[in-house]
Amino acid sequence: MITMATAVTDPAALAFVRQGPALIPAHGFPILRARALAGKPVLMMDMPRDRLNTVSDETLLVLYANGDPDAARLLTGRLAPRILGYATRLLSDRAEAEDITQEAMVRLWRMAPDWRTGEAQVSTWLYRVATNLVTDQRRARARRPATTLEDAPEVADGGKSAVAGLIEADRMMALETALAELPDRQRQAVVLRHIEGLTNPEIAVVMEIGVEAVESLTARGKRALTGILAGRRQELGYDGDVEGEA
Amino acid sequence: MDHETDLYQMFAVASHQRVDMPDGLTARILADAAALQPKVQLRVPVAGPPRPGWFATLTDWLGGSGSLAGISAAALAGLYLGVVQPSPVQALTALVAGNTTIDSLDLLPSSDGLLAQE
Repeated sequence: MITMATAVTDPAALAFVRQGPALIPAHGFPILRARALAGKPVLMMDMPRDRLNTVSDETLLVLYANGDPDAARLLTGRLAPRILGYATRLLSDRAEAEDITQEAMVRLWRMAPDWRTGEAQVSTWLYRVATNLVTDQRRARARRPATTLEDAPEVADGGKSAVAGLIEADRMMALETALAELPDRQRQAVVLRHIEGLTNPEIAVVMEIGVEAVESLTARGKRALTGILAGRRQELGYDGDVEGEA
Repeated sequence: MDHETDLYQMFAVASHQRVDMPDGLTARILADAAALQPKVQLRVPVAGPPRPGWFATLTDWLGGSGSLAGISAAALAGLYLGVVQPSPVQALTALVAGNTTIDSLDLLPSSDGLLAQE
């Protein structure tokens, strides 16, 4: 019997409902639906390839919990790079960030069978786990020196000229260094808001604080960053003519 | 251009950076996923309870099997009394209706009388 309370609804994407322990497309996909109702498994490989990117993270997680072999690969491709970039910016240490990313994903896999659909975004949940892991990591070790260029996230050059690429790399290096000087909570809020692109309510969930506290942290963080970077404008090419090179 | 604009430009560049996943990390994550994935393949839908037939639906509507048995017993008793007409029943009928016997009863009078009056 289809239980609406456990429906995985995603208006912008493919939606499934649970039927017992199985997933069945809630609408559309008549062939897949017929397969599911006939007692045959519904797998990611059965779905049209051009629709895979419309399947929500939550649906993928439920598919993973139901034993789908492809769901983990898709989820990893979507979420792990974001967590790796986030953890790298918070820790200024690539190796530690990779460990944090792996551990956060492990917790996601472990939690998958108990995931309560419709209550939270998978990505937000994962950011929160990563944030807590980073906090534990920073508490466990003495703060390391500012990041090195090798530790910064690898950047695709996008076809920029060598000079423009170097300027951009310098600016990103300066930003990473300045971020490392912020207090932990300010750094988390600024990175989540302005680099990871989360909304203030989402950041509030990640950091387990109120929205007003998020606004305060990001405002103070940006003021501090502006002050830190103010003395480096010319060095970073903001006062010269090289800025427009691309 | 002020300092805050510079900062927002930096944010914009940083937010569009694509973080390359090391192959080894992806492999470790997928290995973890495979090891932790529920072993029981539970993708096959479990058949729901069988749809009740018309008799079960009727029984439920009448209040259950007990009620249906009572109704059946009453119907059989009525049939028996009507067909066999046991002497106690005939005596009771005579007592209530008297001994008057109506040989014929015209429930649909003929229209001949009306036509004759005209």
